[in-house]
Amino acid sequence: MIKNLIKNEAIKTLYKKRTYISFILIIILIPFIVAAIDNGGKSLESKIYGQLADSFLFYGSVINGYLSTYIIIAILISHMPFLSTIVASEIVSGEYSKGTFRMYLTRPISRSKVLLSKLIIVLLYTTLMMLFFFSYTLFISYLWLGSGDLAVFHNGLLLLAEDDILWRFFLAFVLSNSVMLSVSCLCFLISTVSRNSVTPIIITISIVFIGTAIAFIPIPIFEKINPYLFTGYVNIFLTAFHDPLPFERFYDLFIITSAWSLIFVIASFKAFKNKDILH
Amino acid sequence: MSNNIILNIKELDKYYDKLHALKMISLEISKGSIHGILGPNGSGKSTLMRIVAGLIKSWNGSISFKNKKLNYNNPKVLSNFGFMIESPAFYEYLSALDNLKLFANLTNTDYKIIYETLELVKLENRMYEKVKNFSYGMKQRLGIAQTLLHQPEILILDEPNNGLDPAGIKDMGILINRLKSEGKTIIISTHILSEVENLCTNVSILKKGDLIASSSMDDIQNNSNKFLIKTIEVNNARLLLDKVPNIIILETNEDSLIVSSKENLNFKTLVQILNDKISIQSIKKESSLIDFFYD
Repeated sequence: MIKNLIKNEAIKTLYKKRTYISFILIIILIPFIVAAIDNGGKSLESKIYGQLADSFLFYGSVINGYLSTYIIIAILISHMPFLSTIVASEIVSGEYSKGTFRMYLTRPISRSKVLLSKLIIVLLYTTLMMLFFFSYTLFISYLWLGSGDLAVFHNGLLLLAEDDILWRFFLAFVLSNSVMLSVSCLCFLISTVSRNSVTPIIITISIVFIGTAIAFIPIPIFEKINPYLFTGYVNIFLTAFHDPLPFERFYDLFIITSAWSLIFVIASFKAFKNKDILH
Repeated sequence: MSNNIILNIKELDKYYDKLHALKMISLEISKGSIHGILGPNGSGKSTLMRIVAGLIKSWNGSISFKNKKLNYNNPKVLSNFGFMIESPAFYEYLSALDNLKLFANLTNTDYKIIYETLELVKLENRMYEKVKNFSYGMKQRLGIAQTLLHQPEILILDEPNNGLDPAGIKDMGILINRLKSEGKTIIISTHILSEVENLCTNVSILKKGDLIASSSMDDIQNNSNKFLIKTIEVNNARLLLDKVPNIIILETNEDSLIVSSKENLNFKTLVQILNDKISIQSIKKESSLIDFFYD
């Protein structure tokens, strides 16, 4: 039965135009940024080298597809929570507001299974969207700017060899996706208790905004609570390009994001199971 | 309990915060009947239907299907019912066929039944069209179609004629009677008296959450004791009727009165009281459910 429910949710999601908004935005936006990086390559390079250029001679260029991908992800990652709420915000609340639950939930199926099928679609959507964001950025950047070593800042300037990069992007995707799944679960919870699809987006983004502010404001109390908030890990993808890798931080990330996601999911199921469908 | 009772609702009680929406309602639905739940807006009809449909979770009382108490923690109890609660709400961006496929998937129903059902509700030629292009009447028919997919024994239709034009109402009546002839038990909620009179075999009347009557239509028709008097001299008629013991004036309008009596009131008595004294346009026995709204 759960297979049929997931199939139903997939059909509903695939037929909705809003499902494609995030993909279309990514498709349009990335080539523009890659073009801008290509155009402003020289000034970017001099910023990367900084004072090192006074003491060393550099041959070739560090501007390549990998650096472009790294920069684009760094720029856009804090905006991805917006896109990850697009489906989650509407998937339950949309059925309340349009009244479709009045018929859908009068079938001999358990509400928990209905909600589980919706949750699976939300998690799949977020993961696919993030995977598309990473792979499309990498693809366009590689096509436009080619490959080469990746220059990143970690304890000074760190040059990662060309054959040591791709798996790091995959790791960066896994780390970032873990945070985005927590964001989606939060939005899913609010969608479960809300009767319109705008409220979940507003509340989720507000929470992410406040969490990000806590992460960036250097006040002792904020520094104490930040490691326990999933929003404190939005930029964790950067650590995938560190050498050595900070496995302890990855462990913290998975514990914190899993715990928050679980809390959001349990609360969603509890709210949905006992909810009266009055509209 | 009679063997003919398919659905038995006992002491159903529901509060919305301080509002007592249903007050210990007990109701029996006979197998193969068309049972009208009649009442004005806010009487508790939709609440009753939503409770039976499992859409409302907290309530007191019990509901039995074929003498077996339904446990709403097990969703399988809903497999004997087909519901259309309030206006039919579909996934507008999908076609009629795709909508029904979604519902069929929920009960592992063979897609062949979808085509048969669409034929039954006369939508077979429009099945590939998106529901957003459907008229309200077509959506109502599609709503009936979705209730039938898993071949339930009881159909529960909330205001099925709401928003339909006279032709649509006629078609809906034909469809409901056809379903009855196929052995379905049908429960209809409505606030329109004539709908119940024309369609139903049984009726229960709700008023402010109370069940004020529940009976077969035949019994109701036979026991009516109310008259509608049409006259331009309403005030004079009032004065005359007020003097007669046992006659109760139930309602006074601009050009008519509705009267009743606890004793047998007949046409002849009324004519004797009023004739020659005031000008009467007509005296008509109110042969229907209207009685209950004044009791």
